[in-house]
Amino acid sequence: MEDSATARHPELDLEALGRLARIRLRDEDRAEFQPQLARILGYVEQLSRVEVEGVEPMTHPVPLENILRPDRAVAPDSREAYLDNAPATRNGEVIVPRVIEE
Amino acid sequence: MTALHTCTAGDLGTLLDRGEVGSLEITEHLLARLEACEPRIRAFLSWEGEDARARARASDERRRRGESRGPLEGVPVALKDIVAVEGQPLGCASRILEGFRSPYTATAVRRLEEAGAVVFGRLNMDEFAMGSSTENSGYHPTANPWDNRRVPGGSSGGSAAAVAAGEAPIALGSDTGGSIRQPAAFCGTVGLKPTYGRISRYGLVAFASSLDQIGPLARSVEDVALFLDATCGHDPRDSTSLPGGPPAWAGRLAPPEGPLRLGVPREFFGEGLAPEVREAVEKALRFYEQAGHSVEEVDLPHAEYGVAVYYIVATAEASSNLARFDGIRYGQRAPGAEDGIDLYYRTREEGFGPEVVRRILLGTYVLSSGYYDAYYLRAQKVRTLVQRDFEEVFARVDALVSPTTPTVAFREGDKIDDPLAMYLNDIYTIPANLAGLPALSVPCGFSPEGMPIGLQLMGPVLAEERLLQLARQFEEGHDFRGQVAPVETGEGRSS
Amino acid sequence: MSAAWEPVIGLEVHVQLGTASKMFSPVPYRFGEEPNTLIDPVVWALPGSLPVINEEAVAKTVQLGLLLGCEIAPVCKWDRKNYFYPDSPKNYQISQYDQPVCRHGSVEIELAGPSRAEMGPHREVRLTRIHLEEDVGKLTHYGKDSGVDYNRAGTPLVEIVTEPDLHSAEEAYAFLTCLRRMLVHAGLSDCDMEKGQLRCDANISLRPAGSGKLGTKVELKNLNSISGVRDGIAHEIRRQQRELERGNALRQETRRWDAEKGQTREMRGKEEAHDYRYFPDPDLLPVRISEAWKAELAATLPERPFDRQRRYLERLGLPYSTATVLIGEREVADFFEACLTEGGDPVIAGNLVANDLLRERRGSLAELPIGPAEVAELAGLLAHRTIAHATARELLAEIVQTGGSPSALVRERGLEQRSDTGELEALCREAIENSPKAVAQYREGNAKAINAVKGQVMKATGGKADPQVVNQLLEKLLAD
Repeated sequence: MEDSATARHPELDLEALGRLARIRLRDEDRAEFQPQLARILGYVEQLSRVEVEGVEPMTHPVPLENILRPDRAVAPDSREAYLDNAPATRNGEVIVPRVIEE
Repeated sequence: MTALHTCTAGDLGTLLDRGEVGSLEITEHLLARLEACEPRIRAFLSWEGEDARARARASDERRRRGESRGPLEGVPVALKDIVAVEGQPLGCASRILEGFRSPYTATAVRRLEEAGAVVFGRLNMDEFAMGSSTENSGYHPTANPWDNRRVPGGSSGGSAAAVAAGEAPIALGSDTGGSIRQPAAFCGTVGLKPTYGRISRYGLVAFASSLDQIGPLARSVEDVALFLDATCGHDPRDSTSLPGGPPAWAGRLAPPEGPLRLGVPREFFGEGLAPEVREAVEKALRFYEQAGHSVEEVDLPHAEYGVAVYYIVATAEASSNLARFDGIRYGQRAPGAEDGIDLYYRTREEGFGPEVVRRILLGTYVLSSGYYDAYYLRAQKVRTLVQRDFEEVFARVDALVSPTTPTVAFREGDKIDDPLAMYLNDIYTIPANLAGLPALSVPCGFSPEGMPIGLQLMGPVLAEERLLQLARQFEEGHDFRGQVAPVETGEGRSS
Repeated sequence: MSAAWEPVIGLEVHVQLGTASKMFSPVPYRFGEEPNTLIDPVVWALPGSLPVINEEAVAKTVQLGLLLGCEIAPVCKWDRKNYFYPDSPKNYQISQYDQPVCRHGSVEIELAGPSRAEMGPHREVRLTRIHLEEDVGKLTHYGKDSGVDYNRAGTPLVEIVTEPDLHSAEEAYAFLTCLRRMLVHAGLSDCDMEKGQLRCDANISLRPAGSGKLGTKVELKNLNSISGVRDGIAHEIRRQQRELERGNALRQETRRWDAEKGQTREMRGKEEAHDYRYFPDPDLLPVRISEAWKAELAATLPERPFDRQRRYLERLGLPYSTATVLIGEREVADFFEACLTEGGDPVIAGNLVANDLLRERRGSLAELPIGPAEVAELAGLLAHRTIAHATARELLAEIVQTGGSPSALVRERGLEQRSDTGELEALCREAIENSPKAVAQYREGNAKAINAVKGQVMKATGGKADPQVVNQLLEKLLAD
């Protein structure tokens, strides 16, 4: 049953999704997730049967607008508690392994 | 005196006011209860006894000086591991946040503190609120106090279990697709999800931003109202927060004036609903009829699509909300990364559990180029239709009555291998989140095996008062108020 | 540049708006602070933090759109642009995708004229859109690792995208200069590129002259100064032309300008096109820009620099060289116009302000001990030929430092120009008699020789003779 579910969603490219989501997926993870996700996608397929012509998408359940803040600065937080949580810091900067220029 | 751990917050408030007991004594009693129950229940991930005691002492000191802050002064409230408290761990039951201590406090928690409550503990949950059984916790499962082999529900499973076991009178939970109401139903407590925007989300770790709401679990309707009175109201730090000040519902829980029209959604009584649940809910409907309300069948034609819409919209938002967990500024960082980008891949693989990874992948997929229109956009349109169904129905009835869950609590391990089966637990709770409506669950009986059953009440936007009154009326006519599960404590005695 | 190829250039300019606080958090922004000292839960993207829109950032963006003749959206919304990078704390950037604040519009640019005294042609460079977004932090590479400073993260940026309407590096230079001047004039940003307040990326392609199709586009980044933009674009155009003339196909790619080496190079590690998975940000509500709000914002906008320039040239009769200096800074143009209100003659006052005052000042005009009234006074003295130009310049240099009234000083020190023809004619006759050689040269046709004679008269009067009158007298006398 899993195989047919996967077959209906051959475009489910977990390797590509893993790259987009920056999560490393091992072969065994992909093997586990593929049929599960394919099955879920099969389930949500039912939405394609709903008549949505002329229906606006709902992004917010609250019909509010213009929630704006006056441009007044407040004192920033002291950085200690923040840097204490960082796995690596140096001279007040957060350190990461070298990043290739993008 | 009644054992303190069986008192509701309302009862405790009365005792405190009369000077019969102090907050420190209550807190000590609950901490002892915790120690006794936790080996079996494991509702908590951690708690800081000294901090709780210090808060309790401060409360007693305020009371001595005549500076009591209100009905929650000195009352312990336990917190789901999903809200920020300055200086305390914040983990969402995920390994990726192990070691992280929040530099700030969530608005809802701050308001509880300002109301005098003794906030404490980090309650177990499904990792990042993704789950319906608390089995997805990155650390350990939580047991249902009514039957330790069964799940307490999720994602606020720790909150429900703690309240049901008498470890706390009130627990803060969060609800995105039913994560307060479903565990409340499974554990025989009251649980309420307010109208979207009632309680500030500032400091609530986001899972699905357009669906998440903080809410209480407790053993009485009054306690739920006390929590809401303290926490509801506009917060300028949350742009989705509704205007308006705090409510005052705890004093207005008399039965509704005049008969109400109660709707029963046909779609919530289809196949998949366990017979014992159906029976208990039908009995509840008869109670309301006898109380003078009318009951009629209504239609929510798009409710059947709720789970599908939810698993597109919520996962999409989650895939973006959880992008910040990368081991750079806080939380765990995977060792051995070759470069800054490799760091992301490893940290997130090692830190996230499988359900979280599944949902992030799904959410990424439905937003990705070429699929956005067919999945995310379409789901948001169907969501509008779900909301419209409710608007039409509420033009005719004042509240909806339904089961909270299709079954009673299932056994640990039963559904964990089938994500889709797990998702279908939320079939009655999800629509209220999609439409941003208030909804609560009250206990309405037990199954033949002695497991609690929950009754769900849903209302139109801002109808919390009406729901609370209906729930209180139900509570008056039944005997679940204050019920604590018989937990075999460490000493081998039931309490 | 061979006439066979036409460069087609589009620019993407990011400008940091000059607001008191950040885009979605109330923390201030200042350049050059200690790392990670301008932070709060929102900037750091702590779990549970939420954004709240800075009203002034929206207002300034609307103002920019009004200045540039854009269509302002009646309702604009906010979208998440999802990508991972260490300088982006949420690993998504809040931006605007399909409903930005502004669409279309244009920037008027002026190209170089045949000489500095002559105005070059003006053109309108069309814009595609302007939207509002938040900036990211700063990543510094240290070889074995990299450091992140989130001070800049969350500051409000407007992204201004042009149509591919520019056709040379000079035009791009002119575009940035004119855009920057307009932004600074309107108080929307300081546009200091050294502080990263204005950043520019360019999309450059070549096509056969006259062709309607677009060639392969190369994106050029790291253009860190306005001249860098010009040089980088010029270099890239030459590079592309060389490749095309060799018959090589160009790759659509991103290149980086290296100002030190004077060349563009491929950017390593650049992946295939990002899938940003834009979706509406559920934490932020739409912003409705009403007609009333637009009118309120429009009322506070200053006149545009080129509109002023046209007014100066056409209605006040100023020479271009003066007008262009005056519109360089709003403060200077405002000062000049205040001189006119005080009665100063436009051409004279314009010259005083553009040439002499600007040369003498240090810092802001508002800090000077003198104001438009004094400059207008000085212009009046010149207009009535009461003092010589040299005197006016010296006086101005003095009162810029010490203050004082020009008329009073002229009276007190007897600085008036001498223009009594009777007196001067006598001195001229004397000078002519004393300069036979110069007179002879003058009579032979060397017109400049008269200066030597004139010089004697000026010396005899201590420099106070009206040079124009002396000239006239000498010419008359020597014509006999």
